[in-house]
Amino acid sequence: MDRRSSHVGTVSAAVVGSDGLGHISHPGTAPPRADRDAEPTLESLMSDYVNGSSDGFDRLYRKVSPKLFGYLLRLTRNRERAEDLLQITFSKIHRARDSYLQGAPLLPWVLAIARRSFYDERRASRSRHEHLSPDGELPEPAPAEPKTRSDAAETLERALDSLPEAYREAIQLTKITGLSLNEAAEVLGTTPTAIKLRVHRGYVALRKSLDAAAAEGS
Amino acid sequence: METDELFATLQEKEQERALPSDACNKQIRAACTGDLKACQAMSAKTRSLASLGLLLFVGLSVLLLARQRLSGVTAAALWGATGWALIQVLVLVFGLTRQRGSSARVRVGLALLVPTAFFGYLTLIRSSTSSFSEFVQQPQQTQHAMHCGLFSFVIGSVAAVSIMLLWRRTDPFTPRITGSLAGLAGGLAAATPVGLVCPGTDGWHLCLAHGLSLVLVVALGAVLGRRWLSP
Repeated sequence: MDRRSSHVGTVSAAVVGSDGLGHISHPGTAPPRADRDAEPTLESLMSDYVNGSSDGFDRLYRKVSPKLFGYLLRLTRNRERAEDLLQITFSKIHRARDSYLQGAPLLPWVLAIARRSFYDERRASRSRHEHLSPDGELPEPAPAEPKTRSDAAETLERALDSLPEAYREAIQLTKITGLSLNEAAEVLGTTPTAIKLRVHRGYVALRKSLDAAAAEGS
Repeated sequence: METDELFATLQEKEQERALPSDACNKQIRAACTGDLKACQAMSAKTRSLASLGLLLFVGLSVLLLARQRLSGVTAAALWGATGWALIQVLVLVFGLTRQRGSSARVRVGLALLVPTAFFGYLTLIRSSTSSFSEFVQQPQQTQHAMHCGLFSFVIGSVAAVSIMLLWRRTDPFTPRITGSLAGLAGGLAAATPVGLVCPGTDGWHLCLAHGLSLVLVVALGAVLGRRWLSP
């Protein structure tokens, strides 16, 4: 029996959160599922997708896109660019799905593709000229996102954004995206020891920023 | 509040914030499911066996092309060639087959150490070393070196490019390192049999024609690997 028919065939489009019109709902917006305890792994969903199942893709997308988009948001600090990069990343995943090593951890593979796409795009944008609006002026910067977070989380976010890129990425992957040290090392092309060191140094820098912010506040 | 608690808060907030727009979701879904068909994915084992077959084919073809020179080959040279063939297999295993299992440091080490060891081997087997100006002033020697070097480079590049095509889009992590190791395997597939049948024993000839061509194929692999091996 092929893997596709093993569990995808029994899942309807409604259950996976796609309305069949191309809208994919995400965790939090999806209806509760009865079979949640028998949740398939990302790797098995990828395998379904490779075998040509669009249901497999929908379920994979629902699981992977929040983490991937969060990672891209932090890299780009711009929602539009993050969405563009999300599309680029998924189109690359689509093209390269036949070269995915079946059973290998999927999230590091996807994040590494996203990271590489980000650096490619950044390199290309450095050589591009800034677009002018029709009246010849530089476009206005996008309005800042509304602040709804708690003060402490917001302070941490600001402190995190001010960290050197290497520390920020290591902390983002291990503390926020939830990768293991080995997986984060794989994504960043370095050793787990180096990741440990970056996270530690990032922590020290964060602590300093948070203490300084607390002293300012009091 | 402890930093870990703050990270947990941040993680929750990010999950709420990190939802792409509906338009974006729709475009991605259309792009990824529009032409969705089952793929016949080649396993790492199949790719490795195909790469091994390719290297064997390249090596034997070079030997077949220069078979009239094989009668002069000594047993020591044969042992040397066998050793390099085994190193090629090692490069293939650590560079490509186990690209997610081997540490990047080991793989970079292989890409740097093996060409250095090859230069060391060439220095050991040389019978004489003329001065560089003497070597350049002898048109017959320079022509022979050009011929050998170009032949090794072209055959090695063809082998490296074929290996990279077999492993296309398989490595988003370290494509440059994987590419250079594919170059190393391809370069050795050419340099080993060419070295076996080449009568040149001058140090400059060996280093420039045989060693440098290998280094150039490794460099070509690193450049092409970034483009071809990354998804």
